Amino acid sequence: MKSQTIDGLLTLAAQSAPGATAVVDGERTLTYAELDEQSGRLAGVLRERGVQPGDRVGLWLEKSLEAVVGVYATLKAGATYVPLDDQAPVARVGYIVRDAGIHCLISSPGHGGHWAQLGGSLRTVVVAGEAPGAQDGIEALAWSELEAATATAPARVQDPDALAYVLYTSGSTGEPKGVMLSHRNGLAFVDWAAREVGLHPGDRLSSHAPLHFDLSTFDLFGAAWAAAPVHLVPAQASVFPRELAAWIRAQAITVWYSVPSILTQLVLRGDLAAAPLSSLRTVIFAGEVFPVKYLRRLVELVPQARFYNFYGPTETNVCTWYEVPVGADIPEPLPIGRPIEGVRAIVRDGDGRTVTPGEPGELLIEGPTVMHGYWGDPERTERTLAVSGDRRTYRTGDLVREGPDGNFDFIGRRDAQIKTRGYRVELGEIEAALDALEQIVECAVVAVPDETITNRLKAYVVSSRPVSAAELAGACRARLPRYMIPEEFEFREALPKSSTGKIDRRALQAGG
Amino acid sequence: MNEQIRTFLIEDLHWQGERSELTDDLPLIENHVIDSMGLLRLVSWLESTFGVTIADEEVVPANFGTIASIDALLSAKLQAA
Repeated sequence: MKSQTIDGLLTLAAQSAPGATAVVDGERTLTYAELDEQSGRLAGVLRERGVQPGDRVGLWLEKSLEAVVGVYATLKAGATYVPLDDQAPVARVGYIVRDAGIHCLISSPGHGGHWAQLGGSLRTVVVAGEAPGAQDGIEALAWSELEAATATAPARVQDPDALAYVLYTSGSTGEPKGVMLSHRNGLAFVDWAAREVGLHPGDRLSSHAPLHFDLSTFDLFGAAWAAAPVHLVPAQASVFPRELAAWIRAQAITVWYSVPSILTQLVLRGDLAAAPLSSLRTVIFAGEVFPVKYLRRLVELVPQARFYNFYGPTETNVCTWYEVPVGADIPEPLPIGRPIEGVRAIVRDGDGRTVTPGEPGELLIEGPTVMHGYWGDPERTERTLAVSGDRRTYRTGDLVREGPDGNFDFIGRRDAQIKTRGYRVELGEIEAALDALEQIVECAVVAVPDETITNRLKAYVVSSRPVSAAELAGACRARLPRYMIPEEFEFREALPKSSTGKIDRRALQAGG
Repeated sequence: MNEQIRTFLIEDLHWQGERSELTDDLPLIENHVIDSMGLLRLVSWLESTFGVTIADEEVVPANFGTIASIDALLSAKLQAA
C-alpha cells in the first residue's frame, strides 16, 4: 500500500507531482499542489467550525472542482464524507442529513433555498460559490472566504479503520440506508485496481459516476494513486452519446469506468465506427449485467482497449473481477469473475452449507473491502454482516455459481432488490412511497427486463378511489430519485396473491 | 406543442421544479430536466405522439437544448411531411 489513508494518496501525489493536473472540470483545472493546498485550507476551516474527527460532512453539489476539494478536505479533517444525490428530492436529502447527523454541508448556491428545510442539526454550509444571506440560523460561508482563510489541515492520527465515507443506497423499508466504509476498505480496492490496470501518471481517467455511487472512488482515488488527472464528464456529454464520444476523444481519456448502460448507448448512438475512440486503453464497467451482444460490438469498435467487468455491492466495494477475453468468444452471460486480492468468496445454500463448484448459492464476501455496517442501524447490520475480530463477512443476497475455471456467474437476487441503469433499487422503497398515499389499497412494483437499461419499473396499483398515474408519479417524485419512479402504472381491482397471502410478484411479472 | 412537451417533461421525466420555471428557453441539460435515459424516452414519445422519425444524428444539443429547439425540430419535420 502506498498510503494508510485515502487523503494520504493526495499528499503523496502533491509531493511527487505538484505541477501535474489533478482534476479537469470543463475549462477549469487544479494541479495536485493546488488540490492539496485548497483541501488543506478547507479542512482547517471545517475544524474551526467545529467538525471533529469522525463527524459526517455532507456534499450536496454537482461534481466539480469544489466537490473534489470537499471530499479531500473532509478526509483531511479526519471526518467522513456523505455524498448526497444532487438531483434527489429535498425530502430524501433531508432524511439523510438527519440520519447521518450532519452539522456541516458543502453545497452549491442553487440549493441555497433548501438548506433550512433539511432539518436536523445543520449549522454550517460552505458554498461552492457566492453565499446567500444567513438562513434560519445556518451560517453560509462563500468559497472565496477560503482563499482568505489562514487555516491549514490539522495534524491527525492516521487511523486506517476510521470511516472515510458513508454511501446511502436504497432501503427495502422505505428509507435509504448508509453503508459505512473505512479508509482501509476504500484503499483495499483502489490499490488493487490501480495496480491491476497499471495506472500511471500518463493516464487520463474519466469520472462519469456521481460521488454517491461507489464507482467514483476508483476515478478520484485511482487518479491520486497514480498522480494522473481525472476528467469530470460534463452534463451535456453525459446526456448525448455523440457528445460523450467527442468528449472522450477531445480529452484523450485513457481509462474509462462506468455502468454498462452508458457504454451500450455509446455503441448504439455514439457513431463510434465513423469516429473511433483511439485514446482508450482500459474500459471498466460495473453495477449491472452488460448484455454480451453490446459488449461484443464495443470490443470490435474499440479494439485496442482491455475490458474489465468489476462486481460488488456497495457493502463490499468491488470484490470480484473478470477481464474480457480478446480474440476469443465472450462467455454468455458474462462472468463476474474471481475475487480480487485479499478477498475470499464463499457460496452457501439456503441451509448455510458451503456448496461445491457448479451448484448455485448465495455469495458471501470476506476481506478488507467489506463495510463496517449500516450507519445507525446495528440490527440491519447484524442480519447481513458477521464480524469476528478483524474478519467481516457480508451476505450479498446475490445468487451465484462457480464455473469450472473458477469464475463466478451471477444468477439473480434472493430478494426484491433490482438494478436499473446500474442504480440499485429496493422495490419495497418505491412501494412504501406509493403506500403513503391514503387512496392506495395495495401496490406492487415489478422490474420489467430491458436489454439496454437492465430493468424498467412498472407499478400495479389498487386504489379505493380514482387516482391518476400523474398523481402517483407526483407522489413518487416528492420522495424518490428519478431513476426509482415507475415508468408505467397499471390499475387493478386486486393483486394476485400467493398461498401465504403475499402479493405474487412473479405472477405480475409474467403479466398475470 | 410546447405545452405537451412541457407536460411530458414534468409528468413522465419527473423534473422536480415548478411548471412556471420550465420556460421555452430554459436550458434543459444544464438544469437536469433531461438526463440520458430521459432523452431516449423523449425521442420515442415525440416519434409516437407526432408521427415523426428522428435520426440519431439529430439527437444533438442544438435540437434538444430547450423546449423551443425541440418545437423547432418538430415543426420543421411536420411541415416537411
